[in-house]
Amino acid sequence: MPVTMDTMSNSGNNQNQFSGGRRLALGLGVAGLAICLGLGLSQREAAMEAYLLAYLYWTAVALGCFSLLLLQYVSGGRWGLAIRRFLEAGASTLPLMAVLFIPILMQLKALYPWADPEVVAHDELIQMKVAYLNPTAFAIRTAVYFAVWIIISRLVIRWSRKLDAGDDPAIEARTRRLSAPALVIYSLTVTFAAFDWGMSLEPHWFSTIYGVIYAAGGALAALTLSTVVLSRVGPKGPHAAFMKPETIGDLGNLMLAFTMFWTYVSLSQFLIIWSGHLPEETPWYYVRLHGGWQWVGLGLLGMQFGLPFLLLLSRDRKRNLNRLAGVAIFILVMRYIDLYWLIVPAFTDTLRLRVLDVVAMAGIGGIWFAVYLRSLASAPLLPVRLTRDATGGGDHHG
Amino acid sequence: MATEPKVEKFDSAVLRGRHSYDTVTDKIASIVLTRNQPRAWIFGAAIAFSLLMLFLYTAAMVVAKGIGIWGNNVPVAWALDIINFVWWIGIGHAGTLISAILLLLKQDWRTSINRFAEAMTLFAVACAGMFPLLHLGRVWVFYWLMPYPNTFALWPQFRSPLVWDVFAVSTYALVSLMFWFVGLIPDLATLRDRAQNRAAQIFYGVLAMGWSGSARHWSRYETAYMILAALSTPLVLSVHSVVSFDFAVSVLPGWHTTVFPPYFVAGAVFAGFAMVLTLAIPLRKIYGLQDLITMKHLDNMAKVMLATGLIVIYGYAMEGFMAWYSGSPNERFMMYNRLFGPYGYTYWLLLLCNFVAVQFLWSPRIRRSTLGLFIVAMFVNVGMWLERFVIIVTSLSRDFLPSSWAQYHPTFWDTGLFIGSIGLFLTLMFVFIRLLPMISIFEMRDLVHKTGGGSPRESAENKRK
Repeated sequence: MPVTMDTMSNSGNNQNQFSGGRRLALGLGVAGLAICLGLGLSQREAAMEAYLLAYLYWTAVALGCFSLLLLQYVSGGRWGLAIRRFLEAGASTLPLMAVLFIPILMQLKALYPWADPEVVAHDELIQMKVAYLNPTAFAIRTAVYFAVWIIISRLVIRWSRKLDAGDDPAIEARTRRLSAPALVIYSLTVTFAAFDWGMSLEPHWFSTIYGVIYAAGGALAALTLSTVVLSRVGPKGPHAAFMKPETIGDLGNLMLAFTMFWTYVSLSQFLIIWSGHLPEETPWYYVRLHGGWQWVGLGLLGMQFGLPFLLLLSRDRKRNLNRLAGVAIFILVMRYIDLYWLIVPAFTDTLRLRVLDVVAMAGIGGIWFAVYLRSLASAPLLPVRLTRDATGGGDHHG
Repeated sequence: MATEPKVEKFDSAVLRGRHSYDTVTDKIASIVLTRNQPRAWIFGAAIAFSLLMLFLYTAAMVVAKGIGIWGNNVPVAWALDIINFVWWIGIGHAGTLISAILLLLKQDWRTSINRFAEAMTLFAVACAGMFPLLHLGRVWVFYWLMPYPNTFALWPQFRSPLVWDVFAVSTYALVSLMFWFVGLIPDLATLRDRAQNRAAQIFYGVLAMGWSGSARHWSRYETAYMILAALSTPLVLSVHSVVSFDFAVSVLPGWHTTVFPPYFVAGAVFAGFAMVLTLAIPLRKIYGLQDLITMKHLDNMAKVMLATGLIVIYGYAMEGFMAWYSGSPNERFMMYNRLFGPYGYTYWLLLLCNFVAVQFLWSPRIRRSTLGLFIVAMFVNVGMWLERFVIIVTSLSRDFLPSSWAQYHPTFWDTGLFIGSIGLFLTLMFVFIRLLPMISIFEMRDLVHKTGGGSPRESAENKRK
């Protein structure tokens, strides 16, 4: 039996397992945010733009973790068990992201044209949407999104911990019953969150698939992050029984599927807008295909789709955790570049690279990881009861 | 045939009862290799065949007199012909999803439904293909759609998704046909070996292509089947995405929206599963196949239907919100017109079928009741047809130019052709049930082996007999 009670109790006692990493992450985060704040006093807009970009990246990861957590309860499968705790850790950063939204709310005018009464007064098109695009409605909607996400994620995480403590099989059934409707609620809230936070940066533009693109990108980021974490803590921890090539291969296949889905929705959006050639829609792509941005766009096609796609076709690579984690890290970086191309052209017509963007990424990312690791340390890295079922109950097919 | 209790008890088995290799083979093969058919088959086939006559009559008239006898006219230049095309091609998608994607995902429960779902795909694609062909007017020059060297400088417009459709649909039909036929070969050999009369032996013998069941044959078979599954998988997405591009690349409000490709694909799978349920529920009852197509199958199919149905509803929600959010008067009018225009009732009916009716599938009690499921599936069949009607006719009838607005009124030749195409579909289905095993015999034997239903000794004894 690969997993003994001994290794399990070891893993349960991992309160200070990540203490070094947590301290480092927290230090980096506080320092990064302090620099952002300091620079923000003199260059408010630059600081806010960098902050929003980093915020959207880490929120996408947190929401991706949340959605995959719900999805694996609905779909089942060993891959879900193997990364369930990592997904829970990601979802448990949602309260943090709610708090980190406050600076954005305070500086709406620096980011969103519709938040500026001067702009609205001279823009008929925005006036048509003012019932939706106004600071009060924006704040209320954001509060509702986070309330829903936090309540559901806390319930799911708490039930999962309870399942570890006792042997009440009813809890798992209850979680599964919650997960399906929760996914429906999630898909609607994340869509409108993406419309609010990202799409409304260019308030004239609209696309019905925008929410799906943001959510799919987040799910891909969450999956790759979980794979990377698995490759770091897995070999030492209680995951030994779950490190089978088939389970790793499932993660690789999911990664390939999400990569293709991201490409499918992104490219079909482009094709439809390019083909329609309407003045309402093309400016969004016009900016992103000029002034240097076109190279980023082309790069995305090659590096967010082409390269991972080719690498993930190999069955051997998908079944080797370390090699898969290499691809995963690459995709995580590309997720940032994709978001950069999606968001930053709203602020500037020409390609620019700012140190501040990196600083903000480190700032929010550091604090995000501190919370993530604290959550990871608070429970065994594998759901104990289910592990016992899976390892004791023989090798199930599939 | 065992008498079925009113409410079947639900268990999660994909194979019920005590079955050995022989009993499943007998059960499935005997449906084909017998002189007697259930009265339901004769009755159903007679109705289907009459409707096929209607199809042949209307199609012949359309070819002879030209498509002017349809109700289509500017601005509604596309109507029932393309609605029916999209409806039928969508229905086919469930078969491909079940046979290819569920195979790659190692979902055992696909085994007993894949054969007739694939047949359904082929017949649905055949019906779908009729409409664009007939809409050409001069059917006999259909090959002009293909890029080939010719003397009149004719070359397809490759920027048009309608040209992509030609390739997407013909690829789809060919791959589906190969997939289906390759999957049939071992069973055709079984029928060849079991057939009692000479004609049947020759018929199945020729089709079985010399299959002897040797280890080498099986090994090659497995490889070929997996390759075809991998080839079919992208087709599930690509065919209906291209169909959605037919509309989305234009600038017409109600057609031009970026959510269309995934929303059309989900709608296709949704409609397809509804049709599989529509066929499976009566079939298992008439032929007593409740042990092979169990409540677990129906429950799983209902779940897929619920999930894809919710994606479709997401599409409706996005269309509705974005029509307002765009701030464009044309977009906003399109949505208003959909809800309250002259065709408004079709949109409300659509919401009843695809939104309200589908919510019943959340309840395990409905999912596990054959009658409840059948009713929901019928609602979805109607709803998905209405969806295409709403998208196509409502948008076209009131486009940018109010002076050219006009209502569309289908003629007898429109509706006759549509009802006739159902006859074509059902006739092919009835012939298929009569001539070929509707459930894969050897895959069921494999399932018996995997679930341990037929212990090796029991089967060995049966074989000796």
